[in-house]
Amino acid sequence: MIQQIWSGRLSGIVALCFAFFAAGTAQARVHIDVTGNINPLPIAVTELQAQAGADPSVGASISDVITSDLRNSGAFRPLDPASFIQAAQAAADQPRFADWKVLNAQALVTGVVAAEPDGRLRADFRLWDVTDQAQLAGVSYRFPPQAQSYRQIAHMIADVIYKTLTGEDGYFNTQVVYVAESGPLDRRVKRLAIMDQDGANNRILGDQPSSLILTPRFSPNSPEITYMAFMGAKPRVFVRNIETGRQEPLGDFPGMSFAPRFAPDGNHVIFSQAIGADTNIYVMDTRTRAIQQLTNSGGISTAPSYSPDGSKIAFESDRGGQPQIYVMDAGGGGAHRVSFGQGSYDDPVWSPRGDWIAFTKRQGGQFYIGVMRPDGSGERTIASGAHVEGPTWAPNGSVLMYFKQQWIGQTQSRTRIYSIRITGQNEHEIPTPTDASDPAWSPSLTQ
Amino acid sequence: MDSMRSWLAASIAVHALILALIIFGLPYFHTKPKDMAPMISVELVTVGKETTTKQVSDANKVKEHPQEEQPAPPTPPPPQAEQPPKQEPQPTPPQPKLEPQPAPKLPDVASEVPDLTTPDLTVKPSFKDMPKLAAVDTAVPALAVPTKPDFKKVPPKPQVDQFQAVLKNLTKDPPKPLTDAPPVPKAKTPPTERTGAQAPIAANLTASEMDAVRQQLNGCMNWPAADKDLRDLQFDVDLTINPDRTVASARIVDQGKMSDPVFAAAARAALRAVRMAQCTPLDLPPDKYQSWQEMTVTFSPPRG
Repeated sequence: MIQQIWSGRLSGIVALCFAFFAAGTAQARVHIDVTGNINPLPIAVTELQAQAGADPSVGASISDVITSDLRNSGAFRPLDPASFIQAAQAAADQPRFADWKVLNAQALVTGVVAAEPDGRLRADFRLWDVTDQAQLAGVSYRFPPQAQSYRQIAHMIADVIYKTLTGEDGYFNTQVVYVAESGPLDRRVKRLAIMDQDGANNRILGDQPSSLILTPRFSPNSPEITYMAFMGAKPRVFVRNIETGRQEPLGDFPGMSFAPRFAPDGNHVIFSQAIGADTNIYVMDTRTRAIQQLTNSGGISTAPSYSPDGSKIAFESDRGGQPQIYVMDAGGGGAHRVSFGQGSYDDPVWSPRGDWIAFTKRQGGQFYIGVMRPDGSGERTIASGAHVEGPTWAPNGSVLMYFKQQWIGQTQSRTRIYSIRITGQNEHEIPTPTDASDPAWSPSLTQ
Repeated sequence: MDSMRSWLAASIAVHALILALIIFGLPYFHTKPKDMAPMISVELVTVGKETTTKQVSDANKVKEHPQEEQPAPPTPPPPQAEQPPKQEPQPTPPQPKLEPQPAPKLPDVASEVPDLTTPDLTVKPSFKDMPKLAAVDTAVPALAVPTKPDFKKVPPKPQVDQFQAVLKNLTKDPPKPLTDAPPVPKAKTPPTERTGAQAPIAANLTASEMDAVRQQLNGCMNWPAADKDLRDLQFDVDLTINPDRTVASARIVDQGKMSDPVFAAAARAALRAVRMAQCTPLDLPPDKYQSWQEMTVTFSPPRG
């Protein structure tokens, strides 16, 4: 009996071992989880080679600007041209990828600049995947032989490279309007100026209505800006076409009007108006001049900013005691507070992508630039200082500019515009000839 | 007779049990046992003899000094004995392609600049025609895209044929002979050298072997520095791997997401990673080809 039981058990054990063995030898597909890193992408940018009588300095200038754009973005690590093995001309004819692989370049930019019979120039550029040995992008541009054109073409090429390798739109072919400051701090002159996003082509806009101008904002779809100008002691909102220089006040309002910003459709301007002790938010149709009041809660409601789809408005209000960020429907109503951290919150600016709201925060005598989700979650600060303020978004929603004032002793200060990725990385100063504040980033100028 | 033997065996077993109870079960009178250390949960993981995680363990080198004195670990010798003969054939003829030369040879490579018939140029048939450029006219519309006389210094067709074998290895759909006719004598021979108990374990990758290739690919994968939320970007890449541990084909499993430019850029980065020089060949045990000839790699971005 016991023997029977034992023999039965034994056969069972043998069967189990066999099953185990069979399972062990069956070839299951190997599965591996890989995390990787997020580091600037090594890229080789060769000098665009002159052909057909073109000035060799043009290609060199274009390559320099491309390299500078990519490096300043923080997403790329351009390699030192002195380390290149293959000559730029040969690479433009046919890249020899082994030579670039040795340098650990993951992408390669080659190209030529040629003179066209009509007097213009042609720039052909190609972006190569060094590992896959394949062309990722190739574009031919024709442009007039002017220095400003070279820079713009270079920014457009950099945009293509950025888009191809990160998947996000580039932001290099853009401009920034800002307030150029001069004079002693108690008698400050503040005028409108405009520059490329990298600080090049800087100039003061002509024929300004006042010497004290604040908060310029770009239209999302036309070459227009809106800003606030002090006319004597009274601030008024203006709209200006930056191509023609034509400008006019938004309207003749009973109270002080300020903090203007375009709606995403470009046909409406939202702003604040102070009447008596209260400040409320209004919107004007710039075509019909019809005006609509959106808030009526008492206290101060100001600094409105539309969501990119135009359905919501973020704004700042002290209705709860101290300045906080609220979100309401575009038609007014449904306002609810979204900022609940320590300190006070100002200047909410909705990201062009709609995924973040940037803000200025004051806490414990320190200023911060931060971002939060539109529902108030995920708040994080990305820059700080004794005085940092006025965030503005790059059109791709991945980079911010703001201004930082640093005191030099008791009576002097230095104010400059800075650029920073929303991850908090790659903070760097944008060069300006004078003190600079209130930056406003344009939409992409690439059609 | 048989039943007597079994009763005898049972009797011995019972007596042995009673003896064990007496020895271990009675109270310990002389010294009190010290406080018990807290229990540490240990998970048993199969670690193969031929571990390939040298680089990973380098971080713990401080501990290696005492280990040198211990002759106990039986693992170190076998891989060193196996690897040299396998590395030798690689630099030789099989593939005149992506092998980057070590730094000292760079001047030689540079001196070959005029030579456009290098293997690199013939590997890709797409170089027969340089791809067309998109034309952008900043002022005047509709100027023709330039023809490409400059770019037509391309390898003639016979050269493409010449490298047909190389191309077969690089095509995205691996040629059937690779999988049907198993070129894996190495994978079949080693198990015969092992004991029956070791064979099934050796056929699969051990944890340390999988960790080695994971670490290698971690070093090669560089996510695009897109500031869009990367959390949604986890994706699988199916790999078919040659016996020489180079990637024969790599395919993004979820092709439907390739229309998202951020996803596409991340996917391209992953395809670059698996073909990068630092990841060629993959750090896999050569004698287990059948275990890793098909592999799925899940790429998920780092957190924080």
